[in-house]
Amino acid sequence: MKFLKIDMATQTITTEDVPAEYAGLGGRGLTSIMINKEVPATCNPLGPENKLIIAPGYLSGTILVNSCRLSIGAKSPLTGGIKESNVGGTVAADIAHLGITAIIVEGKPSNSEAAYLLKIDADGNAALLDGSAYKGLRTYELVRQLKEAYGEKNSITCIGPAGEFLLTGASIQTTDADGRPCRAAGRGGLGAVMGSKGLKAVIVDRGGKATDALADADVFKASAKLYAKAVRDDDFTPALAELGSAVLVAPINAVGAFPTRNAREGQFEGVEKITGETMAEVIKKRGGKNAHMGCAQCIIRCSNEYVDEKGDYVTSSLEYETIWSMGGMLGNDDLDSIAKLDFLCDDIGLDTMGTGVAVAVAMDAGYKSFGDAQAAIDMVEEVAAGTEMGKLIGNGPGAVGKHFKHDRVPVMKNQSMAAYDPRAIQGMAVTYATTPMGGDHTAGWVVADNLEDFGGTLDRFSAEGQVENSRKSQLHMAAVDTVGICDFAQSGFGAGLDNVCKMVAAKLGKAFSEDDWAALGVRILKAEREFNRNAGFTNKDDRLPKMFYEEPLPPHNKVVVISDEEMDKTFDF
Amino acid sequence: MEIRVRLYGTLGAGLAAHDPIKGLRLHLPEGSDVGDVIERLEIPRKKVGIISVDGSLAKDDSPLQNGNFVRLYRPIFGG
Repeated sequence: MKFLKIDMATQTITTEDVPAEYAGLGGRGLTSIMINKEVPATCNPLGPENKLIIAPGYLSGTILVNSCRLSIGAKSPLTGGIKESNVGGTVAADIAHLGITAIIVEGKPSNSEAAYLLKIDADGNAALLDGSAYKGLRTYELVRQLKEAYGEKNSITCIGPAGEFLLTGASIQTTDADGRPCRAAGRGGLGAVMGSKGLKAVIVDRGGKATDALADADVFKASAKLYAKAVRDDDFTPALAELGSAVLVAPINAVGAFPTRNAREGQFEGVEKITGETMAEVIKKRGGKNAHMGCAQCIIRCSNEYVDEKGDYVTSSLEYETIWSMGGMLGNDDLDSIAKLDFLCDDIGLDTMGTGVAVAVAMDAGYKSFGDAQAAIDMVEEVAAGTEMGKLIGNGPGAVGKHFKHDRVPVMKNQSMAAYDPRAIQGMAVTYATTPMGGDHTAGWVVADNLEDFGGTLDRFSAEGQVENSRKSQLHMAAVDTVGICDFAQSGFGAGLDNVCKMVAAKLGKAFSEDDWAALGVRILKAEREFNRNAGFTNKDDRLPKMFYEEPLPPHNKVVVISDEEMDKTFDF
Repeated sequence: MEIRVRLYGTLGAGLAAHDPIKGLRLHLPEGSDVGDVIERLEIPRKKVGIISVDGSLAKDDSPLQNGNFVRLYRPIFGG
């Protein structure tokens, strides 16, 4: 249980025991509470006062299945508020296996041209190495060279050109179970924060043997077993293996909530060509991989390897959100180009969602036509080339809208919406508007709760009950993001929330109840909202762009009906 | 009457007649509804989430006509 502090101004590394105030925290709980306490809210996100905090979930590194989420937190250069973006792959378990609770990257080198690598060996010894030879490299080539230099048995977390250019749409990429940098902490422009600190990559040995001891290993084991059984037994698990998150494309389009052509429509006429079912068939026919294991200790296998007609690797993993942002949102029904765009974003180090929406806004403003996949590819390539247009795309939809003086920009706190239109699922309007993270679906995914056919009890076109439900979901997710459990493995909660609490208690060495779980969510949201308030956010920032209140969305022709007063009740604590 | 049915997600797994992309065709007596399709295909009702007929959302008791395209989607979860 130690913090590894990296001072980039002096290139010194110190290790300290985790202070008592952060005991029992990991993941988002740790990053958000620490940022609120230690980062001046009004600081320049790309300046020396910001901190980049890299923290495995509290349960990462244990035997628990699907517990390998890594939270990365900082003040966001995209939203200007607090940010936690979490990612899978293998690195969270590897850091936890070294007994490291968080890596805290502080300060900034005086030489803005400097580039460093942070290398952590199997004994947890860390060193900053000169990384100038790797400057400018895209992530796939970077990882290839780093593996050649430092060995295959490392997890590599890195930035591409977009992060080096300090673009606010820049992601932090990390390697998957096959060692490819295809997993992204995509949101909030954290790649730019890493770039501002002159840090090109973090190389973590995969052989650590210093995992924090559990206070009660027997209780933990029994609960972890129950959790895994609940995941295995869940009806949705095989669907995720067969089709990945892309299983959502067809049903969300069917209910008219699939934002199409920059959210002008809720259904895409070309959807059949880009559904999860079509994708899985294409992958199967060409000899790619469905049911691919992307993250350490995963028993769901929602990942895939998309290949071209010759059977050569294109990208991993093609996901629902990217199929939307590079597909429906652009009016693009060509799955091969969507896969290519997904790869390009990973390789250049860009958020696929924000980037797709940025391209969609440019198309909506008349810069190019909807459906022009090659134009989209060219625009994303321009980001790596460093052109003026590339800078706009790389800085996200807000920057593009401003440049073209176009006000149909579907962002919340300047971060793009996700693949659920809030006019067709009102609950998502509350989550998008009120989460301290900006437009974010994972902060409080209330889609199924809004759809009767999926067992939901709320009327998706009505405001009734939406605020309470989104609040409940957001508080729960803050705690889930703290323990490091994968969103898709929440089926394991079928064995009971008390079962998860038992695992926290079994690590912590003191009681942890369901009330403590709820209190944890409140503590995190309070810290995040306090940071945002101190950064200058008010309730006026908990709103959606006017397009969602004024433009009816076909085919249901509804607008968002949640009033400002109701939005303001979301976090009435 | 003859209708076309397409099963999404894992609903078509184990149903040899169902092509994952094209779906299958079913002959039904006149006056059949969506519920009859689910029963005929022997899909446990709780496994079916959203239903659409010719692109519009439908329910079990939605009546069918010759040439309809019925889509059945499984419940979803996630984010």
